[in-house]
Amino acid sequence: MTQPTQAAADDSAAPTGGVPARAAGTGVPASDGPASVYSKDYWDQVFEQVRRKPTAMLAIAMLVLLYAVAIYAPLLANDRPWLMEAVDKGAYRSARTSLRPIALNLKGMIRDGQDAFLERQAELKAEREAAGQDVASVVRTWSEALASEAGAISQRVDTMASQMLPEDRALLDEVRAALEHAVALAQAGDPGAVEAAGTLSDLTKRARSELVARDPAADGAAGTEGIELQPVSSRPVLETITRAEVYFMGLWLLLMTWILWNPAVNAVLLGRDRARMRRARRPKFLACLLLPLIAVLAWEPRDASFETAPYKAGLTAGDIEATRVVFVPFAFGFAEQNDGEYFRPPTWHRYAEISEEGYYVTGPRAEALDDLEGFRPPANPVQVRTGEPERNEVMRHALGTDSLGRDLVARMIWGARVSLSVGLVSTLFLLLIGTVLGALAGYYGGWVDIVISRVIEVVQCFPVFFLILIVVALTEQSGVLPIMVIIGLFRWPGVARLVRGEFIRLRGQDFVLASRGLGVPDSRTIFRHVLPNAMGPVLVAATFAVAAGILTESALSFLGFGVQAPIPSWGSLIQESRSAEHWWIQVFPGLLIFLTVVLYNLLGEGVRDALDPRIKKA
Amino acid sequence: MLTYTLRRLLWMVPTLLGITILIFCVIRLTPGDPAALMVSDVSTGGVGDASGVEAAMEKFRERWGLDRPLHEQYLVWLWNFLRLDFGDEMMRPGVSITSVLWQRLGVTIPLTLVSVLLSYLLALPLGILSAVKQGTLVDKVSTGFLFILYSLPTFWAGLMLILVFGASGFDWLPIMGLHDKDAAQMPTGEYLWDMFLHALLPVATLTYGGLAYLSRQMRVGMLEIVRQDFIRTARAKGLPEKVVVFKHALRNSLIPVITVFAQILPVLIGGSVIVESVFSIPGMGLYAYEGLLKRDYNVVMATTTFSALLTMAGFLLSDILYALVDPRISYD
Repeated sequence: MTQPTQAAADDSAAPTGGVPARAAGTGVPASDGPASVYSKDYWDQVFEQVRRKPTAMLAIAMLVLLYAVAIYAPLLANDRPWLMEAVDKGAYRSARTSLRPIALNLKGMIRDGQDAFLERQAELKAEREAAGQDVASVVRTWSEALASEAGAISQRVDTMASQMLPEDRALLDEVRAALEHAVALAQAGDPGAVEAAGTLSDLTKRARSELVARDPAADGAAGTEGIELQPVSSRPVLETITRAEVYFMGLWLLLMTWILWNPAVNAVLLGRDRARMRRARRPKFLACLLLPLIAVLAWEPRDASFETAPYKAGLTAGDIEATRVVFVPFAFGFAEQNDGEYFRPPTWHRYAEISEEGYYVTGPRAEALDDLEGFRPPANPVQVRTGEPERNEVMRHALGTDSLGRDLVARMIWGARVSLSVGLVSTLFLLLIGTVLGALAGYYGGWVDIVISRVIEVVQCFPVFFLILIVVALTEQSGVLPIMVIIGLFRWPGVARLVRGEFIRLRGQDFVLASRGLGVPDSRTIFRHVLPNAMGPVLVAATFAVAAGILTESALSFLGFGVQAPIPSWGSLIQESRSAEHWWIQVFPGLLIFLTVVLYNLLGEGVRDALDPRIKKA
Repeated sequence: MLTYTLRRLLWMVPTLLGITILIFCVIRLTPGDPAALMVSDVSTGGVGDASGVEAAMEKFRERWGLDRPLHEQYLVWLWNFLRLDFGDEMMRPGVSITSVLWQRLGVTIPLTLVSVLLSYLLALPLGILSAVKQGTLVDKVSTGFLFILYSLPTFWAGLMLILVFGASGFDWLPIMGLHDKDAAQMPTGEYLWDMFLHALLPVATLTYGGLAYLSRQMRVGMLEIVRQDFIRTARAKGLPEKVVVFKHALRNSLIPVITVFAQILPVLIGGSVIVESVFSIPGMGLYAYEGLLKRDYNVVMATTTFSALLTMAGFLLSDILYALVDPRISYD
């Protein structure tokens, strides 16, 4: 790495206060000899200054926590249990009864043969196309169709087998063998496949009648005869976790434990040598980014096609008999509705009290009951499902519910994902655009500068929020990514101007001239030598831009044009009700937005003061 | 100066063209169809069969020129704009947008101006006080308070003001609109008082952000000036502190604060959408919001153009003021 640097010059002219003229990223190696003194480089100084500001450090810690909440949301608020040891009678029953229909379907498919199947699929496709429906699910080859039917059967067999004692599984093993045989023959086009499929369907018929589960609760034969089901232990929350989530969870774990492992790495591996520690910065950073990838590769995402599984309903109704259930701290899903609990005030509020029968005791909604003189309102009474806190416990809806009875705490936890990532990603976009344009204008000058500067001037005159609102509203964006891009597309001129100014200041300096004189390509000079020295002010601007991005997204969602339901964002939560009667819906998510913006602004001020200590001192 | 102003005015032309073309393309190239929306409104009133609906949609498109090529539509729009004619509202034929817009601007512009004026009036003393008493309790409290204001989301601040002042059971202040429902019968004095009460919360919501930003700028600017040699000279020659602060320091630190005007204005205009929809004030922001909800292309185009014009006017004004207060700056 040939990085021209000013560090050598800074050695003699030792800085007297704050951050000196910027020295380039990786400075002079201190391995010249024992006499060489470590000279702090730019980032050393910045870290030192930021560390001195308690507010900035507090902001960093709180932001790390907030992002942890967003990243670990599934482990914090979920309607699925974290750990469940249970007999799932419902799942067993539905698997047992649905085996035969699928087997019959497979048998019919094999009997009619490949050509008839493909013909029917073609007809279906034409029909759907005519109706303007989705055809992606129709176009299937013969072997794919066979595999999907076989998969459906073996999935049900697995569900049953997992809950049975090994000695009861003989029949299921036969089903498995027959299935494998029939599919293999059918794939090969062997006429014997029809017979094999017949055997399979006979076996499933037997399985349906012979493998009835014993139900001690029921009277008569079902109470004493039948298969004894075994409790299975499972982790339903983990089943929904995708690979991307695993990556970020791992990454965040490494970042959160930085203060633990960083000193250890410095002491053991690097021997507390500051020059080596400096050189280890980049490898450490890369390690944080790459190590979680190992976890991702090891992770096998399971079927999470349905987001709300009826675990709680099953447990409540008795279809699932649990010997052990552990729920996550907030046992509510972000989209989980409770018909009886719409717009319930926070449970610590006196108006939230609910009687045994599930109706309000005090407050306007109880009065509404009285007005009706004996008539019960059409709303359902509050239901408490297994795993949920009792009906009047504070932890039941500590911050109230929305119009569909969804828990506000759970929605705020999940909403953090959208709100926090919109700020970050939109800032990345605007940094990308602003830095590239600003660097080009500042480095080359001349007509490039004139053109880009004019464009900057024009875009700066845009009424930005107004335009973002209109573009988002009219293009009917409901996804998160387009909103991030649109915010980035309108907000780049500030950064572009900043970068341009820094480049104009730096382009005449010796290290740039040296780099050009050595024949280093322009792109390398710009990105490796000039840009790192211009990053300080950009970093400050970026921190404030994240806060602005979060504010913009929340305002968009508040006006009803942002991310659409059921995915929550803090702004769209507030939009649920503007009635003052439902004050909790407006107060709490807004408070969270406010807190996040405060933290980012605190951080931005801390970094700015660290880079430019003139104002703070004086 | 004059040539500079003229040049700036000329630069407004491509800027405005850019904005209008951008919005025009976004509006016309996006999937939603106002004709379908319009017809769905009508069909509930009677038109039943499919051919009738199709014909109605066709008629609607023809009426608004939506069936013509894009560039032609834009040129027609531009020509009408030059004559300050924005056409009729699509959803309410016969209602001229231009006349509605003037009426709405008559609400938004005074609100915006009042809040700009208020921000300057409050921010300058606060900033100066904070800078002069740097490091004292007064400075710390005011800086902290302004920091909080600075980070407050506009719409949330408005909602909280409504909760506290309008809906907490005390009914201290009105929270909807700009007038009481029977304001028309009130005598002039009462009418103005009523309007004043109605405007308090919206103006507060519009003002606090700019106030915080300005005041922080003022403080920083003042602190920077105070450290300069000419201030030291002024102190050294024994001038009283009052003269040093208000005559020597203040004048020089005012200069950068004036340009802030250009930064506040677009924020206020964007904010008017939020504030007016929170407080149901019939201004331009609410008009734009309603236009967006109804997908009324004409209304959206008209409000966007006007908000762009207002923003550019703000930039121009601040540049001219900048040159006027600081004789070192010449644009020619």
